Amino acid sequence: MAQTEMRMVFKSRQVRMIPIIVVIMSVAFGGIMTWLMLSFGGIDAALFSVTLGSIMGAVVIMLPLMLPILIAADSIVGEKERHTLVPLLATPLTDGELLLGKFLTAMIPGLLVAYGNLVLAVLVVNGVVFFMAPQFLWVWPDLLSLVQAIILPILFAILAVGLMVIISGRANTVYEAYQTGGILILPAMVFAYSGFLLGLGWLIFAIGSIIILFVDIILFRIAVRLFNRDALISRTG
Amino acid sequence: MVDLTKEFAKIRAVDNVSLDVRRGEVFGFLGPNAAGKSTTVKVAATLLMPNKGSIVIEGYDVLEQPVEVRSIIGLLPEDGASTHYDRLSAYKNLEYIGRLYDVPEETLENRIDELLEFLELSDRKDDSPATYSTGLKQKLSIARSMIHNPQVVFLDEPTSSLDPIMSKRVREFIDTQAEGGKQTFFLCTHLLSEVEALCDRVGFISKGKLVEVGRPKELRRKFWTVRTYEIQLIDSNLQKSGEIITSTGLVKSVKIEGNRIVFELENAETKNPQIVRALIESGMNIIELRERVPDLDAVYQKVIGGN
Repeated sequence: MAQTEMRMVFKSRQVRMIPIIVVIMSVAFGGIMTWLMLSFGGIDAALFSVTLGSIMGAVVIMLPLMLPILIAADSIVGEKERHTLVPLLATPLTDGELLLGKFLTAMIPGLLVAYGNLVLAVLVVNGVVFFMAPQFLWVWPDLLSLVQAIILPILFAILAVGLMVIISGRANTVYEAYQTGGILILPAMVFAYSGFLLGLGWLIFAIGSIIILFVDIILFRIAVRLFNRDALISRTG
Repeated sequence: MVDLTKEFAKIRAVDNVSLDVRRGEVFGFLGPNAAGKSTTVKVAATLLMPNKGSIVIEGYDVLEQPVEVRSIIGLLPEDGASTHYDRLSAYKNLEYIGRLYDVPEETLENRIDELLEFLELSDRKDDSPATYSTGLKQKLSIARSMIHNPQVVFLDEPTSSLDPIMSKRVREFIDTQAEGGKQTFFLCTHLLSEVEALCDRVGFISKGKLVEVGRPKELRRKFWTVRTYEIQLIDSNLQKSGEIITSTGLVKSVKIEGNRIVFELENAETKNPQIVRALIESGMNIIELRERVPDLDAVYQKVIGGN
């Protein structure tokens, strides 16, 4: 189910554009930031790494989040909008399997883009450093940035999709769902971004992650409760 | 189906409906708009939870075993023509849904080809349903509802957007499938001619309540106590014959229509022989005596109109 759905959502031009924008922005941003810091810097390797890590971490994590929000909106609310929900719900899939399918459809591309984007950004940043300041060898990511860049996209993707399942009950169009999802998820993004900018260490990261995980669990439980055939069909009419 | 009740907010869409549909029959479910037909189908297809009552399909309870129920039923929803994935080709639409129904890979391709061939969609199978006419989309919906060879098929207005030739073909398809008890069909339709042609039994639903159930012929008998007959004579005076029929005092009305005499009466089985005898004794030559059977539309008007 998730495989076919992913194929379908990537036929949407909006969805196809996001990974391209994300990659261009974070690679260009990473390259320019590194170049600027090395050209006008005078900073030591450790501070360079922390500053770059804060900025790049936020870009690498936040930008790919647009994708699960849009895919979830397209895959869940889009079914309603395009009237394809009833035949899908008439198949023998359980409510749980359907929800899992929707989660995977929205999360997998988002995570692939996030991690692919991370690899590209790392190559670009360190490539610029290699040519401009070979004495630094490796500036980003350090271990904390790497763990953050791996863990946070998963936590935020669950948050985005869970939120979108809840929103899908109210929203009637993909655009409306995407807008509402974006507005609701913005505070979470700012929260994560602040954590990075402030360069807070492992403890804050751990506490922040636990809070997001807790919110994820609550949202997932609400999503499971709301994502049932009777509720979906009754709301659709 | 026992005491089925489904409410939306304060509106009772289906009200204590009890119904028994036999295996292998084609059952017609008739009623005006918002009578509760589609809601009943959605509950049977486990898409909606009933407030009260239950439905058992081929031994599976819709409340206790919804997955099993969904795996043995096929559903053509009321707005079936607009329920396709436009980002997939027609073939891929069927393949996707077939896989969700766990149709074995080795038979899926053949099944899709067979359905597309029968419904004359083979040459458009690689096109997106977005490029289809409403009729073609409806045909694709019918194919989708049959992709897993379901034991019970719920069809909500299956031929509403098809041309007469394709409607006939779909009716033949349903008839063939239902023959020998291979599949059971539950047909919601407004087309009474379709019910006449296809259905073994019909149920009339109005304002959520099941009003009547029976064979079309039985229902006609039930609601038409006064029956209409026409008599055709050869080389006879129609005017005089009409007067003879009237003079028997057995009929409610007599009129001449073309070369026939049309009369209405009750208890036709006992009265008709007396009328025929009276005509023959008066020297009239009868070619044919035939009942004018009211169509189901007339029964429908009477049943639903009374509710």
